[in-house]
Amino acid sequence: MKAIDRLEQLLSFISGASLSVLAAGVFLQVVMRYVFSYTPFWSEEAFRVLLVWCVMAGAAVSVRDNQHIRVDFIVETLPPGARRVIYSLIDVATLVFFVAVVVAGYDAVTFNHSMRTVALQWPMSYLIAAVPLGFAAAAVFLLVRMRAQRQARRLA
Amino acid sequence: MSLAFGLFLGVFVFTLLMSMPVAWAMGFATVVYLVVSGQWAMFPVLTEKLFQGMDAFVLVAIPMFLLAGEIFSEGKITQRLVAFADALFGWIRGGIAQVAVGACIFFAGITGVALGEIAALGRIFIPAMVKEGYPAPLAAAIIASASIIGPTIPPSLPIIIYGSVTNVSIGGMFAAAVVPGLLIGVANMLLIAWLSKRLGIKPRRSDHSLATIARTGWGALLPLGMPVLILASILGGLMTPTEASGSSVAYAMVCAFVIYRSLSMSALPAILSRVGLFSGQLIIIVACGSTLAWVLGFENTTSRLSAAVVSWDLGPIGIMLVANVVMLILGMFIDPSTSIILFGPILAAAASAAGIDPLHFGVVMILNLNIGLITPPLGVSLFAAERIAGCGLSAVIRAVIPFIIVNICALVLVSCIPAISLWLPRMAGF
Repeated sequence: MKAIDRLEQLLSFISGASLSVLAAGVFLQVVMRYVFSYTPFWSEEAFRVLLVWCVMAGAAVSVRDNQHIRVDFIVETLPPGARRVIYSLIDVATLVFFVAVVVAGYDAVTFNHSMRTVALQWPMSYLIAAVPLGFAAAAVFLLVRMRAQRQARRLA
Repeated sequence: MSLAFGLFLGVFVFTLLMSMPVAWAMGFATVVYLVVSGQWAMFPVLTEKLFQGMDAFVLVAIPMFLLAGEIFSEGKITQRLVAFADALFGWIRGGIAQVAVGACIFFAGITGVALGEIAALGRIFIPAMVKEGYPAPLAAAIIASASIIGPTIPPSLPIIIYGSVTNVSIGGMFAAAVVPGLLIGVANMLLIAWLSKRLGIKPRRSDHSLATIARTGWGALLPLGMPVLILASILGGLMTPTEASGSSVAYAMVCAFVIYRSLSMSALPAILSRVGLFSGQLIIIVACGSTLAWVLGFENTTSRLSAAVVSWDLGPIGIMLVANVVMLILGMFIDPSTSIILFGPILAAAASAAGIDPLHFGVVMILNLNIGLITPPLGVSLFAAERIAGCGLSAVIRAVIPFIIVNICALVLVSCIPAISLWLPRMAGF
């Protein structure tokens, strides 16, 4: 269980750090334009990359405590037994999606390895890799939550 | 309609209603579509689409505005706005409830989400209203209803999402939403004045001398100035909306850390990780929505649907009416950003084909979907306000009905009179 907490810490750090760099960077871009009449040509691209990291890290961590936005007013009215079955099925379907993104992500990353971003000339693969990595982390969090729920049920 | 596409729609709607997180329901339905139609080679594109959905400069504004709002509310700026609202509105019949609505209007210039309003003001005003004789469910309903001003007046997160999926100018939408947002505030104040007379709420003594107004207004000047500066810098062509969002973080930090010294640096990591989590939850829906849009593009759905709507030949008023009814019903069941991602492009295309100004139509959609935040069965603002009041959801739902009606009246006005929304952006040259 230690490792999973460490993973959560790492991802929270990534998301918070990219946020602070984003805030500083976007503000600096404005300052540079008006004070030094210079806007770096690569800044918007770098900001978008930071945003993707921030979102993937935040979205992955949110899986652990099931904080994602959802429509639950119908399921809430069902009896607890039926609700439990539906929640389990939903978790399985979610896992299918996560695994699909991660597996397909391998190809997506290798396909795009020779592509370069316009301004920074970074390999596209590095940027796209944020998505399968983030979903892999999300899958880990989901599996941990599913196991914890099964244990809780067995105890009850 | 092919079998795969039918399954895609069915799986999406079913999993959505079965409480699968919205983002994953979109992605899972896309996976089902690819498998059933046998397009295995397309799977890598799924990952790419997720990436491209997030890889947009305008979306950077979402975490930035969230961050600025959090810094302001953690920095105890709220009290300054409350004091000013008290001096300005405390004497009107309804007393404390009018102050609550006024504070929601002021705070709307800092936050772009309704939950931000309730988090900052609900804990202050719901107990205060109960103390002055308002029934708890009514107090919760008042805060919930006034909270929808938050995502209407700039900065507004739904407007950023709308702009990113429809290419309507975000700056223009910000300007167009100001007067409609104020109108919602005034409409709620009028309703409260009438309700409090019927309830026999005692008039409240309040200090609204010019000196007090000036003193509290001076104290609230910096937070009140933020939305003005955001709008002016965007409309004046000085900054893009994203740049304005980054600058508003700097502005909030200078206010909270340097000028008011009401926030210590040690609070920053917690704020950052909270905003990071929430931005992730919000923008991942936009990302997964782009896989959904990809499949809809395969089947040419968006252009076919909007062509169908155009071919009914309803005229501008008809389109406005249909769009409003559809959005109101949709808003009862799903959250605004999801509705915008799913139906924004279709309805915006149909509206512009019918000759409706895109800014006008966009603001009507935003206002409409924001009202959905207080309509049952899924009313996020309603739930949040009830959680503070603790008086049972069904009582709050009963109490909020007159507010829903009044807000819909304001929506009808904004829909029928384009000048309400278009006056300000036209002045700025949009």
